[in-house]
Amino acid sequence: MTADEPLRRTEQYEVAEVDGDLLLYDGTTLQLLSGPAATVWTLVDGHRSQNEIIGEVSRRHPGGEGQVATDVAKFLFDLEIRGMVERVPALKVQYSLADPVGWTRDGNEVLLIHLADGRRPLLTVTGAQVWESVVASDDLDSCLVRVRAAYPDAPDDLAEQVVALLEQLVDAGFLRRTGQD
Amino acid sequence: MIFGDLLAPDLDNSDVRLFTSADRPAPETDPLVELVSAVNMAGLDASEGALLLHAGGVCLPDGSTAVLCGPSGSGKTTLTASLTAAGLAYVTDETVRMDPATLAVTPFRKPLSVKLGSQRLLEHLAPDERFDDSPWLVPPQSLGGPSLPSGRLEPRLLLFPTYRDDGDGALRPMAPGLAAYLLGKNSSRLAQVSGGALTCLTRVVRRVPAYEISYADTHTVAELLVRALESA
Repeated sequence: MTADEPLRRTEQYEVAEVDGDLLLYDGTTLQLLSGPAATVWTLVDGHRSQNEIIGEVSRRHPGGEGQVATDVAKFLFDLEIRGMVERVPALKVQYSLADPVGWTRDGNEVLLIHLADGRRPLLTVTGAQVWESVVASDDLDSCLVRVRAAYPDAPDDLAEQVVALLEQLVDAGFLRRTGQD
Repeated sequence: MIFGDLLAPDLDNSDVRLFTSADRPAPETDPLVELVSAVNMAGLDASEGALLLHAGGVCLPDGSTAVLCGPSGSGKTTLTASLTAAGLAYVTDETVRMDPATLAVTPFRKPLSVKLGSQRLLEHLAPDERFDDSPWLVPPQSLGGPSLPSGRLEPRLLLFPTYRDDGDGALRPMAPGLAAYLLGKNSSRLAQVSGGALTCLTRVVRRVPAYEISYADTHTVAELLVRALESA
């Protein structure tokens, strides 16, 4: 479990709240979560990460933030070992060739062809590099690594510029995007 | 050495005696214990869908019932016997059967099972014939308490007792969440409770106040509990 991945509860437990305490029952084992433990369980909502949960528990139960971080991390680890909590599988952003689209490299440029309506935009040097990187990559992160390798001295906003170009190509019907930001 | 036999050195005589299984004396157990155990199981089988708590129970003439819940060895039977001697009616010392919707208690007046650890505290209940390895089975009528009231038995007080030599005998309120948890941990067939286990457990602790007590003197506790039950 890494500290930045969202966490969610697994489905097998029936839960009842009694005066701020939580009773958990899976048909075999009964468990009681009180105080900060109940808070942690409530915060495991499929969106918050371990770090975000630690921050929220520290806010609700002030004092000894360092100890809170240690205790919450250990508690979450115990919950994961018991199969009560799991990581939310990351959905990576992926760009893939739209259908029906063809393309070819022409020197330093890439020519795109939309086979349905005949549009033929031309991607010049940098755009051509981005295109070839994205069609050769499994996801956006890999694409950005390829582009960064091709332009090691590029400005810090390279990723934003690449994404902006890819989104234009999505809007124009040459690429398809899946996953989420 | 033959498996099944016991080869034991006699240190006093510095010789060796061989006991065979045929020589071994019959175990000193009360045959009634098995019968009562079978009756208990039949009682559980006939209680499908009910909340079945490992608990003793005693009640006032108006049906207000104290449920004494805890694991084996926590002092349920000792306290139940003391409370009955103090004037409360005996409901059970083994299983409190509670309707999951109304929470009405069904009495289960089996013979009290006084286990070895409690026998020194309840010497006055010792049966005429004793078996070394068996709990005493004490008929409810031997306890000297009143008869059960004819009306419905309503739980009015949950008590989680612990017998300790240094127990202070103070009645301490227990958080409802913890009470629900301990009720569930000290129950049988929880998954089969009608309407859902958690629904039933939370219903109990929202209606009935829960206390814990660590005690050494049963007489003092009995007086305390009678007062608490009367005011519940």
